[in-house]
Amino acid sequence: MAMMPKRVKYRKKQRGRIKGEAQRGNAVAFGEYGLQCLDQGRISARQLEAGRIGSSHYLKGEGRIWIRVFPHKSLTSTPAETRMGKGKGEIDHWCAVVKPGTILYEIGGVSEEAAKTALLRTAHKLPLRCRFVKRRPKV
Amino acid sequence: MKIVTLSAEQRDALGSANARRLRRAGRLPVNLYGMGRPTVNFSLDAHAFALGFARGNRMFELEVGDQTQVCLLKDVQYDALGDHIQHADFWRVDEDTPVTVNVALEFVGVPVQVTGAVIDYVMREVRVSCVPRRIPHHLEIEVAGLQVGEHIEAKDIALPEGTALVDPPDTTVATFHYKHAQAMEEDEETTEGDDDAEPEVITERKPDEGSDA
Repeated sequence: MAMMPKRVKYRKKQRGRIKGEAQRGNAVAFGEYGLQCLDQGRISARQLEAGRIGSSHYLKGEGRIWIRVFPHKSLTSTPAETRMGKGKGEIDHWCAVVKPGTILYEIGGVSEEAAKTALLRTAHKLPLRCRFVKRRPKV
Repeated sequence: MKIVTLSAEQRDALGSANARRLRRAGRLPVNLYGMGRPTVNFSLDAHAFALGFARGNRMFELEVGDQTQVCLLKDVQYDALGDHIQHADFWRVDEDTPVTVNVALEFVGVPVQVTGAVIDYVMREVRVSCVPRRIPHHLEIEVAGLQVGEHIEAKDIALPEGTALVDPPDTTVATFHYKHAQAMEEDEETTEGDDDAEPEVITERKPDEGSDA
């Protein structure tokens, strides 16, 4: 099942604007390799899940996958063939808002080649440009 | 650890706008502090520093005019995408006084693949105490021989001569274990399910609350 919040204060959210670059969540923190987003945009819960399945299928249970973003934002839609008005539509799906630099997925416990291939399969499921990154050197 | 010499220039114009101008000119704004003396602002050649940093050097000798100062790299700031170094902090050190620093761990080898088992690197660096010149570049740990259920502790790390471990010796560094049941479930495709499920709304008014008795 696609990810969504368990409890929310209000069901429907405003659209909002995405500005700037990721000032947090922009470094590999859990695994050794990561998939970094290069564009700003929204990733739906279904796309996130499809990406995760793409990686885990390839890795066949080896290693570990972390999803670093969560679909906190609800998006509404008005049903087809409905007249204008009558207020905001009902919730259609949930999505994660991402900025350039955000690490979307991380992989650990596998070789670099395996992680690269797995994350490439994941990137194909996402609507934004992504790149493969490694953990930054420690100071 | 090798000491890399970099020529530094005093930096009087402070602030983000001036730092941006410096970076555009190929310089890197840095700070130097420690040993009870005041903080000094410098700028370095960004390319020379990045080369030294990429080669794993963490000890530098800053040359300002005819003065030199041996220092340790304390912190590095990156831009949002992590491509470029934006700023670096240096820490003055006395070459004869032991310092406590974090040293990166390098895990060598991969354990025999067992379905459902995963290696967890709990620590990626350990704190060691030694004189600055004896700071190891990294510490290697062999994990290829690990069996499922085994783990490595900090005391198992082979330290070079003149280096002492500061972290508790029984601290777990890496474990090789079966994944938790929850993680195993998450790995399996559980795509079937109720996509129309909605989260609980905290502020939702219950039907009873609206009617006055």
